[in-house]
Amino acid sequence: MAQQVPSTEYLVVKPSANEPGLRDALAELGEVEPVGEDLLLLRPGNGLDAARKRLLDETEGVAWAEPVLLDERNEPHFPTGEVSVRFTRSLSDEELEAFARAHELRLERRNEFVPEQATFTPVDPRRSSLPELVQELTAASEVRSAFANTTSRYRRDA
Amino acid sequence: MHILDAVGNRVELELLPETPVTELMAAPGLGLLGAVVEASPVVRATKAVFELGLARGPISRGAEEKGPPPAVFRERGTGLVRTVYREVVVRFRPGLSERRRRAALRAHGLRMRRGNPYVQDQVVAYDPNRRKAGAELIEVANDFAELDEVVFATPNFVSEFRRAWTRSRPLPAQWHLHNLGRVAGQKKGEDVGALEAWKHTKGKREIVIAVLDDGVDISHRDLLSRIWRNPAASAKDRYGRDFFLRDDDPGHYDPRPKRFRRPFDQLAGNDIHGTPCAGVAAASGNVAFGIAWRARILPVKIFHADDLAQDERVADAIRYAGLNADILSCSWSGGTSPDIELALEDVGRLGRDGLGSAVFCATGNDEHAPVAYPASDRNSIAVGASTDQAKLAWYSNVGPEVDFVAPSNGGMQGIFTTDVGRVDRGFNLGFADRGGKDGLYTNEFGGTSSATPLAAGIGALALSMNPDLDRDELRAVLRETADKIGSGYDRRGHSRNFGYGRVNAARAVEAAAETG
Repeated sequence: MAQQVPSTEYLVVKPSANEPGLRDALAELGEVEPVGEDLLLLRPGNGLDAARKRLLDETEGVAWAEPVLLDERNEPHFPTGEVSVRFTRSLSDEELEAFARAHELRLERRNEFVPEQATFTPVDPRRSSLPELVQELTAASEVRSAFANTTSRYRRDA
Repeated sequence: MHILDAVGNRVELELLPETPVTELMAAPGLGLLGAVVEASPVVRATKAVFELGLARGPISRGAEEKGPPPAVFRERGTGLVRTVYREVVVRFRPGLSERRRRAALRAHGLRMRRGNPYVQDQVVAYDPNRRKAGAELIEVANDFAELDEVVFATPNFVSEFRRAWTRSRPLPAQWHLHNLGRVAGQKKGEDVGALEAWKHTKGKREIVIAVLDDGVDISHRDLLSRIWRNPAASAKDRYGRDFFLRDDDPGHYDPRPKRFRRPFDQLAGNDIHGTPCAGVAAASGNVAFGIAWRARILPVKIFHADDLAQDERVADAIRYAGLNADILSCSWSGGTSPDIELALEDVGRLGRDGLGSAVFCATGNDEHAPVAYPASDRNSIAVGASTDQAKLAWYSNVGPEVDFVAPSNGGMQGIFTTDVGRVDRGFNLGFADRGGKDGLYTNEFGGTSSATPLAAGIGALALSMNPDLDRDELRAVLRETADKIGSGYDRRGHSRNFGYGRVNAARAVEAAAETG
């Protein structure tokens, strides 16, 4: 299965609604640029973990902050805040809800095409870290694979 | 400006300014029309307006009473000329009383001219005051179409029609299908053997090629007849989906190109990539042929130009395509994704009732860098590019994952194929030397982007011959029948540059028929 590891340089920050001052606050921590429609990319000057802690503990208007994920070719993938899980079998609705509760997740949707797959979000995205959550979910017995949902850059190869 | 067709689809119309009609309306008779460039479809259509008698009133009464002139439009996509003059066709809801029909017409300043002898509820109406005679009639018709008591309404167009004629062989510009070696430096016969393959099959209508890209111009005159239609009458996805947009977005079930930004002939910022890809696979041959020109195309939009795309949506687009198509053509690359990896596996299990849909992916254009993802995935068929000189294209990526190459640009000529059908959008903005003045075609397509739908179309031909092939058997047929161009093949017959060689449609269809 394709592996993605957290970047040690870049954080993706999801602003809460109506926080016009957030970008200025982030700029105090490092370089900021928009990524996609509603996320910000931060390259903190003084260490990613410390910056993330400060963002989540002290900065107003941050819904969550997660490291950019890098694949085997070092291509960046930007987390959307969701995780998808491919189960070893199709779980009933009750089983999915129980799974979500056990891992402090909220069930967002079942995959439209594959009943064995579902998408979740952390109940408190500020408390958990996506890479750790993915690791935890992957270890569960009924899980075939778990991964963070991401947006990425694609190239039309003309 | 647009009209709504009988099932409510928008058909975009482009007003042609200063048509010959404007000048000729003042002429005392119609004889002059014949002296104007007779070959022009605009003239032919407007002449028909007069010949049919629609202009009888104003002409005979003199210039001061004639009212607005006919308006001449070109239908976007098809390029057909359509002239509007004086009349609107309205079909009322069955059983609507005569009194209510007349009241509805009167409210729009119209009067009934005649009924329809075959359809009881349909009438032809006109403005007795001659104020609404040209372009205004389109707005009137669209207003009518919104009424509850109206089934459809349309200007009574005098239109250009094309008879269902197709050329019997590709233009010389489509050298990748049949290479006559007409350009200096080109190697005659360096093509995929299309004419030989077409003696066996031109592709079956039942075989569907999904083009996952930035949208397909489904109204293009060389694609329109080849577009997949959902057999389920109540389905929302009547001719594909746009996975870049959320399922609840109004544009989600419209897989056409949507994003355009100046300069409109550049790939960056514009949805102009999927339409040429679709044409290479299955254009119908009015002007451009696809290799499998009787197969069908399922447009699956996954990109909006260069915007970041959600991997989950791309993965789901692959799953959707796998459930509805036999072949997937992916002329793009990106980072590795667990979800896309699973999706490629899923379509092998779910597609074609378990036989597996075959996913053709571009190896990438990074000047011989390693094969890009998802072409490098074990469930993909990786397609590189060769040239009209039987060489590896300078840009085509290489590696052990390459399955085969297909002809593309990088030699003496690019690839001639369909272009986005608006004259001001696409690789060709309307220049004769870039594919034609109508802007409907480009001769500058290429890359592994072009090689991929060409190989995918050959896959469709093979499945047309033998629909029982599973996806591994299909891959094997295409590998085994490829021509060994260039050098560097190992004992298995594989080369890091060319894979198992350059695909050969003629040999592939023959081998497919004999397999299994």
